[in-house]
Amino acid sequence: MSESEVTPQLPPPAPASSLKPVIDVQGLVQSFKGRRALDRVTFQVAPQSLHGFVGPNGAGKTTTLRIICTLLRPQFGTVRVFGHDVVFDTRQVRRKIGFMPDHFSTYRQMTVFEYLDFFAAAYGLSLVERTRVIDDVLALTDMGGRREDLIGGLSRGMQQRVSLARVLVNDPEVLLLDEPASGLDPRARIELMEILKALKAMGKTIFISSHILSELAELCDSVTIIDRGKIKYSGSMHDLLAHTGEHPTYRIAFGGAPDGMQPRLENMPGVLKVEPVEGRPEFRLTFDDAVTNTNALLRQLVEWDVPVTGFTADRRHLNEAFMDLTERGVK
Amino acid sequence: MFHGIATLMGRSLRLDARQLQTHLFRLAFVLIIYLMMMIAQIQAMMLGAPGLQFFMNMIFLNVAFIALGGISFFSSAITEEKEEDTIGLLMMAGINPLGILLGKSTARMFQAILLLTVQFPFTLLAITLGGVTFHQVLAAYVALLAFTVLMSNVGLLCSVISRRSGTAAGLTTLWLLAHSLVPQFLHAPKSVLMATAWGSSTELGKWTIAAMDLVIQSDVFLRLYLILQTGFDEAVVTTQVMTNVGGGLAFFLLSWALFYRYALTADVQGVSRGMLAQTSRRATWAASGRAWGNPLVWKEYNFLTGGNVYLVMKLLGFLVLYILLYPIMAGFRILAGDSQPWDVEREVVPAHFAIAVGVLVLELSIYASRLFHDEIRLQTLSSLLMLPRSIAYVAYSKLAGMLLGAVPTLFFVAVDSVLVTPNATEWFKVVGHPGFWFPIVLFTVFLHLVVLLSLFVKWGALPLAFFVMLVTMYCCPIFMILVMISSEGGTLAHLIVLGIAWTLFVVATFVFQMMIHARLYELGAK
Repeated sequence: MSESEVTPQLPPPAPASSLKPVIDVQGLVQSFKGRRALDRVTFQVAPQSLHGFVGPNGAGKTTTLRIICTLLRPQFGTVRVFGHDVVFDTRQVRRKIGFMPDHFSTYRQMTVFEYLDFFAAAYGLSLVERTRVIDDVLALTDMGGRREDLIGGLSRGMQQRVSLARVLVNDPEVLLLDEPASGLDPRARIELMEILKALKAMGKTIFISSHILSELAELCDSVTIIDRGKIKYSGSMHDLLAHTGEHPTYRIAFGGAPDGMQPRLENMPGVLKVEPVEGRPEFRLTFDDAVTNTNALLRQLVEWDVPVTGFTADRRHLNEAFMDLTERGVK
Repeated sequence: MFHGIATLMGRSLRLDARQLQTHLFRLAFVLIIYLMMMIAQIQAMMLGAPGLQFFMNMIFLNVAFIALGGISFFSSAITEEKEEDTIGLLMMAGINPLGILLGKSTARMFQAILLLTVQFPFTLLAITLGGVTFHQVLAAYVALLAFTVLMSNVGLLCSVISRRSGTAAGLTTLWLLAHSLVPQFLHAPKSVLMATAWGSSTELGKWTIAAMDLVIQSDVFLRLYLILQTGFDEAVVTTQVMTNVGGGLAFFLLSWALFYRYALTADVQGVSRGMLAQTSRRATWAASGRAWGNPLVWKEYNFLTGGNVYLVMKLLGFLVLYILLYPIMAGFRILAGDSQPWDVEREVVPAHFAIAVGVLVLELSIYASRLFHDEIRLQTLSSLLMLPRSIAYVAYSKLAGMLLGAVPTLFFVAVDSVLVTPNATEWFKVVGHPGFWFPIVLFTVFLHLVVLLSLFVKWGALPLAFFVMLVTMYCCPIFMILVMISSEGGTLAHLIVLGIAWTLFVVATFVFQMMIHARLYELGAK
């Protein structure tokens, strides 16, 4: 038996980030009536990732999405999906993507089955394929029992599922979702997020624009933050949320709000900065790890006999990162 | 209450003053008047008294304007609040139904009346140009004002009882058609009744004749026809003015009475698929079935034109119409005192042909106005344009689905056209004549215009297209000249005219198709 038979000579799976990007946006510029909606927007989306696209109202999210999904021609810059240019290889791009707009794009007078059958046929699927695919997408979206219902009679959450099922009928490799959870009640929102997780597990690349930051933080591998047409951050969610300062920062939470705690913390040896967390009995504490360490800090707190309920390395919330990166004011 | 009415009216007038479209519309209106004056000036070089022609043109323009206003502007007064879901908010703000009706509708009526009033001084020029008296001008404008009151309130009632502006516009159009046609058909029965003993001696007969007379006298078209006659000297305020204003008031009161019943309980989001069955619930042939190879054709055939059920109904309807036309035509003959009333074979097929052509025109016009408008209303255009197909493919597929639904009517138009001509040679002669194709060509251009306008306006694309075509044909008499010359036939001049006409047609349709394409792309990207 040769060595090659014992140890298969297969290359190790490449990490997602090192693969060729599924969506490659380069120097996108778009203006409407003299106002620059997108200003040299550049970012990439890795394959099989769930990529969040975040920004305030009017930041340019929907414009970017509409360019990626071939509905709008870019004025400057290039967008490639699986290497296909969205302007020159429109049909190739359309076959690979599924776009769900931020409104219910449904024929209310059709039944769920008729609606899905219509779109499946429009993508050129045969009768047999259509039957199979529709059964699959209805099962995935948990709509199997509603196939003969009129779409107009369904709740918002159900209609959103039908929209998602429609996006899936041509088995796209990339899903572009514009505010998919907007207007849904908490249950419908959670259920939708579960479906997205399942889709990601199936190997789909999902590009999701949303305002619901907490859910994005939990769901996404990577994120792009856009503000007033400019990219503020594009990269992994972990890097964005991790504290990237020179000195370590920890969060200390107290049971209740002990008076005069901030000056006491500031006077501790090696402590460089103490910031109260707005609305909570918590402080963000940055220290010089050449002078002190977490053990010394905890020991001091125990000696003071204050009710410490939490002591964790600081990871910013997406909300905070978002607020830090974007400018204040309604656009 | 008065505060609420004033607020609503103020808002309505302010919105009107701020919108560029309304000012552009008024500018277009003024430009048309100037154009008419120029035409009158040219006519003055050839005719003795061009004032009458100028005045007739002005009246024609105003009637078209009021009819269009009734169908689009007035009939959306309440439905636009329903569509925006703001009726409840207005009620919560302390404005009662009367306040809403007055505030929403009366402001629009005043705007229309204002437009009529401002042109009055221009119309007086007709007197200077000669051929018209001040009395005629005054009588015509009073008749038009009364007609405006009637149309605005008919539009209001349709707006109250309809769920959507499109339905309200359709209902107002139907009412307008009835209002224009019914008085014309009442002349003959009225004469017959007056000649009979029952009509002249019994109370019921007298009342019936009086009612018929009232309907005939309420006709604004008849009234304007009389006013435009030389030597007109009737009173300014007549039955037409009284009945139109009275009718307007009655329609307003009816709108008020029905407001709670319809406007507050309307389910704008309601879903209707006509008589199309859901597969699991009724006979399979009546359902849409599985999507076809070209699903766009399938969708339009089933969900725009009504599918198999409507197809069968239309086929049966046209067949039954042959049978029904016998007693109807015989009835007309009896009323006219004909001795052989049932000898109507020669009249039935032409009547059937005329009805089939009318239905085809109406059917295709309605389909054209809804072809893309429904996609915009349901916000589905972007999903359609995202398919791996070109915009042209999507548009022509939809058109094919629409034409498929019109097959029964097209079939009967074709059959009747063969039956009304004595032999095949004659049929080919008629069909081969260029004059035969002119109305078809014009109608094709009209359908393009309907589709194009439906991509720009929220409602009323059909009447607007009709208005635009009417004004264009009036302002560019080249169309009518072409029709007249082409009907002569046979000469070199005729061939040149034919070439010009077809070039115009090709250019117009090409430009419209390019504009439709560009607009679809723009809407898809929004």
